[in-house]
Amino acid sequence: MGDGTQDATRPPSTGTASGFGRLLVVVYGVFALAASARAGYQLATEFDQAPVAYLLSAFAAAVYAVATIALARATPRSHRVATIAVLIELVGVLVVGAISLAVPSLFPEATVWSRFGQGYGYVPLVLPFVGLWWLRRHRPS
Amino acid sequence: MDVALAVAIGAALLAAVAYLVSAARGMEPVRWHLWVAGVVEAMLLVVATLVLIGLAGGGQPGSPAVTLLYVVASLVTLPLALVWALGEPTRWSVAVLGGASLTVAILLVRLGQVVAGG
Repeated sequence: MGDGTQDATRPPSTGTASGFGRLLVVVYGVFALAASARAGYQLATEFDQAPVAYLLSAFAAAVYAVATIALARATPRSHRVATIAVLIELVGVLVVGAISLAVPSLFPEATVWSRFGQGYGYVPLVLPFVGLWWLRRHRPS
Repeated sequence: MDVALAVAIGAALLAAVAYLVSAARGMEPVRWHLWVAGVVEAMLLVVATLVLIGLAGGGQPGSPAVTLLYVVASLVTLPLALVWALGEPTRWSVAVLGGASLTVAILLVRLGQVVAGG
């Protein structure tokens, strides 16, 4: 326990899981678990109703899970993995968001990326940009 | 159960505000940050108990499996966040607790909807 103030003598932390990255890993983790639970439940109980949406939910869950673990591990190799996962996430939310608005019949059931993540307070739209910014700031030298 | 749920949601939101203000002011984790998490977790245990009693009694419109999932999620979020937050005690650990408290509040709102059959 500290005394409530920042320790100025502590060396600045590096790595994607330090400092603000600590919080970022939590947000990614919450989305990984939420998307996994949702996809698992949907695939188990009502797969026939909207297979495209449910498989997409499962794919999104996997992308969030990989990003979470890679950001938390914070090694040079995991930095690459995290960057790829976050890029896929960015493309996913933009493409699925656009399609779900243009052709709503393709997604009768919502996914985490539908309508650019409207059902999740647009966090899924903002998160990949924050993730890429953070990864850029912490490129392994 | 509705009253307990509303109180717990209020407590989680208050905790989130307290943590985020602390983090914004650059505070590292201190003793009362732990106490706040403990109080919220105690309320979550009360909510979980009431929900489980309701499930056992039957007559609730919501899906039992989904209800249980939300109960478990609401209970494990703060302990996991504490472990992760204290692994590196900086102002960002306090922000982590703020994010976790916000997540708990959202989980509780969803839990209320699920129990009601939504």
